[in-house]
Amino acid sequence: MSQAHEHEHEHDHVHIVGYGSHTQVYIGLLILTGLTVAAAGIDVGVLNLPIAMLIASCKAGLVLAYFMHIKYEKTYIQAFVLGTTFFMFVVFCLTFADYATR
Amino acid sequence: MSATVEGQIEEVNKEELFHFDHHHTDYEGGKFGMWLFLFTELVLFGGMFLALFVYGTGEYAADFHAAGKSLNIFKGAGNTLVLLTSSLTMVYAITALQRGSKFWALTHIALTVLLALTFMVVKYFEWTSKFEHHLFPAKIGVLESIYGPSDLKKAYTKEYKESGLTIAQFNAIKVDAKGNPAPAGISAEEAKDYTHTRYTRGQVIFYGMYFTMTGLHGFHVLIGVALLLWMFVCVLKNTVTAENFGWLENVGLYWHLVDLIWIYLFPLFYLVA
Repeated sequence: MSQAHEHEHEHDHVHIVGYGSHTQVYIGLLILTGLTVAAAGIDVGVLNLPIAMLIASCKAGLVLAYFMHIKYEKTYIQAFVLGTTFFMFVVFCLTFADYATR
Repeated sequence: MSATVEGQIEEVNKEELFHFDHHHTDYEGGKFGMWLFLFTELVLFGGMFLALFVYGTGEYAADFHAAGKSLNIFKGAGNTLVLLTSSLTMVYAITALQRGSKFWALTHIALTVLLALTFMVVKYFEWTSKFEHHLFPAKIGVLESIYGPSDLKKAYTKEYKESGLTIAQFNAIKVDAKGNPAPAGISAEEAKDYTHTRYTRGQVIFYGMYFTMTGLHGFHVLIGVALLLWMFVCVLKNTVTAENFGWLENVGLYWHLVDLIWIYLFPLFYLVA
């Protein structure tokens, strides 16, 4: 198992993210969580759901970019993540276009 | 003659092996494979989110609103913090291993497991409180039978119009197992049968989706715990090391996906009210 990875240069290209950057992202996520709960307390009618989803997507973006390392990945992996997200977005839009016009 | 041929084959194989190693195919392939798997997970949960959006914004919006209020926002928010923190200890574990500290890698993996189990314990109490109100996963059919065969939503509207009850007041009326409210002037002994809460069709859908989605998510948390324990053993036995951390990274990706799904589940179920 380990034989295939004995070369020292093997992971030279790997970007090691430090504890500090991780902690910063974590604090950002905590603030956004507080914001979600606070925003839920204010009734803005039809905008409640979009605001909650916007904040959730900001959190998801942080997790994807830093914790899941997408910011430092090669372009093709980034493209696949964007592509999948876009595909999901299209499916949601088409479904709602159908549902709203019934 | 044959020895020479075998020798040549060996030579070629060595070259191929070197070539393979030199281009990090194993590490990168493993990571990309993990991402492809995560995409299928995304689509699996995505379909459920789509159903939730359609039900929650459509004709059942009011029911979702009412049912969402029954969920404990403190437990939900607390669990959000637990999962976010576990994501932090997960990335700490990877950084620690990459920097060569086996001890801190093991500590952070163990912390991640503990936080995951904390999440499940809170989830257990949440579900138990729902069971006490006769709300069970995979027993939606039984719930439906509480209301009888007619469309409960219509029954609610009719009763609401006739008596002027609010939604909360209507839902507070206790019914028996067949969905009948208690008649006036019954004895305390007879009243014991009227312990069921009446739910509208939209609320049944809400709880059905709540159990399905948090249940599937909880199942993912348990799989995550198993994977993390496996990683703990691998790091301990030096199978996963500072030079070969691909497996730990991939388990980390899985763990963050579990967190990612919860980031959307929390506002949609707990804050929708």
